Amino acid sequence: MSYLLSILSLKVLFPLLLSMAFGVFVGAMPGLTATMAVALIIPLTYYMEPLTGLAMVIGVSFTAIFAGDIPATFLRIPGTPASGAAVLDGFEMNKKGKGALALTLDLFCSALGGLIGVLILIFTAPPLAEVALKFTHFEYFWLGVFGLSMAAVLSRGNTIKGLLSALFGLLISTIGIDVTTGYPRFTFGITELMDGVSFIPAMIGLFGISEVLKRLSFRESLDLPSVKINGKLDVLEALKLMYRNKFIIIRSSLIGTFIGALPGAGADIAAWVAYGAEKSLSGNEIGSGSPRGVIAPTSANNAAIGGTWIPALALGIPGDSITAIVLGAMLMYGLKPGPLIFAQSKDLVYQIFAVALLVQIMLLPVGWLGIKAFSRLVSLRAGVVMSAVVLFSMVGSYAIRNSVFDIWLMALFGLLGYVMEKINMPLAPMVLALILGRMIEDNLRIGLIKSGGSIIPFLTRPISLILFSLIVLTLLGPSIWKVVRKLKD
Amino acid sequence: MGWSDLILSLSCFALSGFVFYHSRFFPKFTVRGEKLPGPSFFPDLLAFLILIFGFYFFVSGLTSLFKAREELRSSLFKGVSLYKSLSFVIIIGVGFLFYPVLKIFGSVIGITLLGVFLMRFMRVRWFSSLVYSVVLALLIHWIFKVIFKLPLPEGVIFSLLRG
Repeated sequence: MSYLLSILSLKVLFPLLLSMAFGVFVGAMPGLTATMAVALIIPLTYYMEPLTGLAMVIGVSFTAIFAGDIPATFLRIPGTPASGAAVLDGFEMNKKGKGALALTLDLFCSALGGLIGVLILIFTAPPLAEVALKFTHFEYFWLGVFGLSMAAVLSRGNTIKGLLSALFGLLISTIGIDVTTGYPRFTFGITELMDGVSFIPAMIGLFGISEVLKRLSFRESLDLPSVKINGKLDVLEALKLMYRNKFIIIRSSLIGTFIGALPGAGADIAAWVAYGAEKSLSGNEIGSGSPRGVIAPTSANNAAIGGTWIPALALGIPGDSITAIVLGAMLMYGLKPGPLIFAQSKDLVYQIFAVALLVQIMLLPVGWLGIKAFSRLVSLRAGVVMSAVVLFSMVGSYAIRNSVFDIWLMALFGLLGYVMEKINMPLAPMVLALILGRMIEDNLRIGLIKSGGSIIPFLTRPISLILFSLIVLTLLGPSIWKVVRKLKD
Repeated sequence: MGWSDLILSLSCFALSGFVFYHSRFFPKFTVRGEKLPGPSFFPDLLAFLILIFGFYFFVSGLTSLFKAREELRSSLFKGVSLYKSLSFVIIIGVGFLFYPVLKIFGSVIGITLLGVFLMRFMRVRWFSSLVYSVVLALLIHWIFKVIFKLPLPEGVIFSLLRG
């Protein structure tokens, strides 16, 4: 409590509030990621005290991850990669005229998920970091495949096409320089492809441009408002839904925190895994505009931020790209992240925890204002909004690495997304495979090299075996469940 | 879904063939005489799996076709219109023309021009499309160039005017 009181000063609160507003702005802008927001705010904190600087970083990262869900819900364009899973049910709810409810739910779940993540960070940072360290290449491979097995359950209606979509995504992820040998694969001399297919233009194209193309098919709809927002943000209904689905919030937050704690697996993977877990437990209802499909990923992605700080603070290993920047900033402030930080800078660590808790409370008004502002913009005529989406998507794609090639890539992925949806092939597994592709390949190959080509260690190590069993359960679970229910009937 | 499944299966075959063909030229990964999983290992594995899926969709496509031939043939071209085809060409075309237009006219005028063009195509009135496009262009310029210091093109015309 004393730590919480110690941060309640204007020199911490005012920069924190500004950074949160900046987080909403960047997060809601397609093409600008939470990592970019943090990277941009770090230079501003050079001359500040470590607590103020870190408070700004914490504020920006939590709000940017939430704000990414706003365009995801209204326009089907994830503002940040972590909002990829929130697109599915959020946008479906919006189509049913429940966009405001979806975002209110999203806001509360993000704050609550973030709160749970931070509480877990406070109480379990050192022991959880130890578990995360037990993950080797074998476990990481299965973790990646587990994420992909979610692709099967994520696919609405057609599991086979979902798996094929994931395979296409994995194949696209092999484009670029092979990490092990340094050989460029499928690049055909195009320099821009050496780094691989940039994930953000691909995602903007698949979700955003394909949606614009779909909207253009109905010419008359262009004269109507882009998004119909029914009434006010329904706080009471959202709270009721949250109470009814309290276990989903807790489960998803736990999943999010755990995945966030694994080095290299951030909020985006956490959101997909939580969404997939919910889908496998709740069945076909998810994917067609169910509040549960909003609750699970939004609780998980904000909880994952707390998780990413666990290895960062306890071991000095970044949980994701954001904490990688944060670690650099901490070194800049003269702090040494790692086990010793709890002894050497105990007060500062607990003040950081207090800031993270405060951010969850402040997220509610800041996020609410963000939703309000964005909903004004998207209630313009569809023709205006769709044109703006196309232009913003293009500049956003270009912004990632100042590359014209990424704009072309986005346009091609837009076309691909449209065709895929036309033949009932889900987009989500491809997006997930693009995120996980490198991780799966590298860990499979390194694992095989370590084991001399044997797959035995992939199945005999305890954590590997647990993950493998989870994959089998995820893929076969729904069928087994159906048989059991039939036998019961 | 007969025709679409058949087209999907042919795409799978073509993609697998493409991957198998190109991966033959990838170097082998051998350390002290021991052959290890090299650059072609994972793409080949994926191509093999895609091939299996291709066969599945080929069979399912053929089966569906035999079941309801006429119905499927008509559904294949359902919804294809001149406007729809044109809108595809325009959106993808804007993607490809985006940078050249900005390079010539600069970011503010370039985005305004593209904005007016897109909005007119999307049935927004002339005046409104001009106003919205100017606002949009200034907003994009302010966010990306002023705040984020992104090197958006200045424009050949302005460079010449400035000498």
